[in-house]
Amino acid sequence: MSRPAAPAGEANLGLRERLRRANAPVRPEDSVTFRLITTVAVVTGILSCEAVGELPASTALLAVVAVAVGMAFSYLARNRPRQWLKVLLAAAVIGVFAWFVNQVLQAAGTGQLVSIEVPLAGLFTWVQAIHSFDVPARRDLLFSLAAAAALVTVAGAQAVSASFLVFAAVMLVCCVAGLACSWRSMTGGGHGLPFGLLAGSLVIILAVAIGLLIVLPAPRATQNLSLPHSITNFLRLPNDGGLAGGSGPNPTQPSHPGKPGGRVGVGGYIGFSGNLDTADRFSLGSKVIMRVRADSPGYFLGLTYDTWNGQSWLPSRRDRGITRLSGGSPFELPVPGLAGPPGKENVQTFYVETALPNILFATSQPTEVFFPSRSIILGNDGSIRTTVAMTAGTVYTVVSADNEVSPALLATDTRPLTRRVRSFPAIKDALQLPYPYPRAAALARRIVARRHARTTVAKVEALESWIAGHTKYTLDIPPLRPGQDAVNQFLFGSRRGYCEQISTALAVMLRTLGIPAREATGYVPGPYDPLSNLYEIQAKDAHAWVQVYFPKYGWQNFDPTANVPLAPSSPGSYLAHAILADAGRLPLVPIGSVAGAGLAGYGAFSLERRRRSLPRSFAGRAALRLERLGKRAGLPRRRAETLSEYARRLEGRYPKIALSRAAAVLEEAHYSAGSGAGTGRASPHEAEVGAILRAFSRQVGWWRHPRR
Amino acid sequence: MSRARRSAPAGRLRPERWAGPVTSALLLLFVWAAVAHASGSGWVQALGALAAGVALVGLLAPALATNRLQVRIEASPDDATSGRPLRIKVRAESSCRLTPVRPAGTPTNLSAGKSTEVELLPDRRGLLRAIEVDLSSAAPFGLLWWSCRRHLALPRLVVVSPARAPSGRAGEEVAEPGSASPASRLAEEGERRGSREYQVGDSPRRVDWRSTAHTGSLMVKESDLSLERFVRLRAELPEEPLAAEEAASRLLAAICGHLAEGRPVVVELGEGALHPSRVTSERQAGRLLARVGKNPWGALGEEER
Repeated sequence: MSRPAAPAGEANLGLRERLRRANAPVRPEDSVTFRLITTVAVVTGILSCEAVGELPASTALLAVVAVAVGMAFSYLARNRPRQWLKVLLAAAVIGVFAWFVNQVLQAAGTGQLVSIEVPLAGLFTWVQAIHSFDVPARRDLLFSLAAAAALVTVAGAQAVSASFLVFAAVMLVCCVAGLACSWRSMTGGGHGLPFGLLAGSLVIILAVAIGLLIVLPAPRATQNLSLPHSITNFLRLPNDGGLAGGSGPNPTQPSHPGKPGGRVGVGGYIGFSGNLDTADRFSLGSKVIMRVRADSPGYFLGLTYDTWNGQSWLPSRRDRGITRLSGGSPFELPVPGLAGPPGKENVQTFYVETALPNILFATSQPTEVFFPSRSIILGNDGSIRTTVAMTAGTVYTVVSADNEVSPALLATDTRPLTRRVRSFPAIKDALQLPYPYPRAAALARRIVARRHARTTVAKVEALESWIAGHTKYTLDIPPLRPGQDAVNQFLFGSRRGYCEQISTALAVMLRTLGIPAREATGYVPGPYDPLSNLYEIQAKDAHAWVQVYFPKYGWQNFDPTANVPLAPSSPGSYLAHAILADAGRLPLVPIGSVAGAGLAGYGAFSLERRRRSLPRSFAGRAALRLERLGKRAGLPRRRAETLSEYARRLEGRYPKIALSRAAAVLEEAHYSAGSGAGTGRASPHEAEVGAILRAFSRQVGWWRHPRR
Repeated sequence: MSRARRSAPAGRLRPERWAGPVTSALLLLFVWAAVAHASGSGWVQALGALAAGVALVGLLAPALATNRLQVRIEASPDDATSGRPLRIKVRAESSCRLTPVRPAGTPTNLSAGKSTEVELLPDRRGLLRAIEVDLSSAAPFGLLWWSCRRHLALPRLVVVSPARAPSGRAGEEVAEPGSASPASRLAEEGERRGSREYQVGDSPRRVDWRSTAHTGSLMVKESDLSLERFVRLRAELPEEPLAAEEAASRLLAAICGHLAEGRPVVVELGEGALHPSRVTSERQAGRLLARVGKNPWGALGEEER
């Protein structure tokens, strides 16, 4: 298809003329619907930035008003382009860009390039607001729509809550509706909103998006400049190095365990208050206290305890010695003693939602911490504590060299503990018992012997298996009487308990077998949100488990409470699992019956409609059959060709079949008054025509011949 | 036993100027993936997946829409002249763009459910039973145009007359005008000689209904013209299309010249013609010359299903 050639001389146009032509006004867009949709999209983009804290509320409000006024002005002035306005708007955009550059330079000067997204959101917002005063044509509206989508993406990079779905959904609808309006306007198909097209497109887009989310792996944050860390409320803690917060409204107050039988603060799990009293009974809610983005989920360790007194776990006697790391973020952590070989890097970013103890959680063997303070404290038990209160809105990132290894590998570690290793204080503490626990020791030996467990990991698994089979998990357990040993009461009394009792029993039994073990407290990953790629840790996800020392691999986590299912790291597998699980719960029989009935009804309706569209008379039906057979033979009937002419043409190809005779009979039946003109009543020659057509059908065969 | 007119089967679908939209979409998705990867944000990945969905629908759905386009020609004139605009009315069930290919014409946007006038410019004489067009659609988002070539059947045969050459007389064999006035119909038609089978181009007025009823096939009256009284022109056109077009134009100009001077004209349609045709107007001459020789429009002039 040739396109009109450029007018002669156009190639010789000067730059000025070319620019003038490029900026020549195009046909204004008259669709109010399209303009309204674009306005909603831009406003959604601005509000989304405000919602994630990238824009101050006042700025967002001002920008929204500016966009609304600008769009209205653009619509009213769409037929009268004003050059002075363009110059004015260009100057304003340059001004905003200069402000942005200034902000970036200031951030670079303070070494906080990570906070560039705030001025970036401001730049995008003001460019949008300024641009809205000059959007006369369709292409300008489309630019606004694309820029609004970019603005929502800028906000999405910082979004951690599922509530962002509202903005994403509104933006999707706006984009689809806007593009559909643009198409209609392009072809002069009216200015209304094509709802059918919109709904169909949305369904396909959602299907594609869900498919992509299932296929794509979860995004992994890369450490280009810095990893996210920020704090909204900087409150220095008075007890430097001590545990604070999480147990009341004041995050600077020293941590203390909850009252026995009472309800503790949402962040104040009893295991984060310096000692873990298994006599305490408490309840925790479902409030989200943290959101975590992690390369791979795991046990987010807070504190470890190695001193057991029969009722409580106490911090290590060595914990008096702490190490202060100064110099500001990022903090390089020294490799702890008795550490195993470093494993795969695991970047975890924590978004704190409520006041928590000043503990930085991380998977095993953290190596680097990004936290917005001048110093952090490193406990001898490997815990990391902050010197400022952990308030809502705090963001920090920890990089770990996960050294968790599989049971198969652990089984290869058959080296016994050497005397030298046993002499290490940490190992000594991990073998400490207040008294010999003869019954527990005998039980442990009996279990191990019955399972023929020889390696450390086999012994741990044998004990875990016994606990799983002989005890019950429940939060409803009777209080511990004064002086009663928690382990004996659990193993030989009620055999009911929750993670503290269960993990303590395992740790004590392991110690009776001479295997170093300690109590660990922290959080397990909560529900996974595939849209935000975040694990939502709830208060009730606080947990206690056991760490066992292996000479070759260091401290390894074991959870005897239950095989706590870890949330999968892939949004795809999560979505697929969720969809399949939901689909499995659907009432398939009624749905299948309704769908089957619907399909059958549609089939019957189609057949009936087809039957009604067929000629009623014998002549009409036979003529139609002749035409179809001829078409199959590669000789379709020509327009304005009579049936006789057509039959003669066919006969030229199939001379042995008396098609002309059949055509003559059919025409006579159709037109002859004697047989009821037009009614096509059965002709006496019906059988003859039928035989001819059957012979023709046999000759043609069932396949379609090429057209001749 | 009438049948509905339909457009020819769809041709091969092809995207138009696809490099820009496809590259832009890929670039956009790459940037989106890079931002998602750098930030680790699931929301950016989710928004990118939605953008990919929009891009996919925007780039591929037009192919489906184009393939399903239903376009038909609602009205067309009987006659047209080579080199002059031919206006037809086209109706589409969904919005699209129609670009006439053979005959060439002006690309026109068709709105859904509306009748739109499309201008064609036939560049040669002949018989047109269909036109060849490119149907394009970018539905639903207008991101990428897809098109396919189709034959659209005309509701009636369009006879494209040759353009009249500025001047000249060609093909004239016997140029002796008769003195008799062509006022009488009998005189125009000559003496009745018999009947023959109908041929394409015969006037319906000449149908011999008696013979038709008798023989069962359409017959026309055949008569002897008093050739001495007419300017007799032989329409023999060369094989080469351009030369044939020029010859037809010159012949038309010659006929019109004679008619303007009041001389009656008969045209012999080549060697095989059974009888010469009497020509009384430029329109009639054009229609006659449109049928001479091989139809220059080829398949478009043949019967279309």
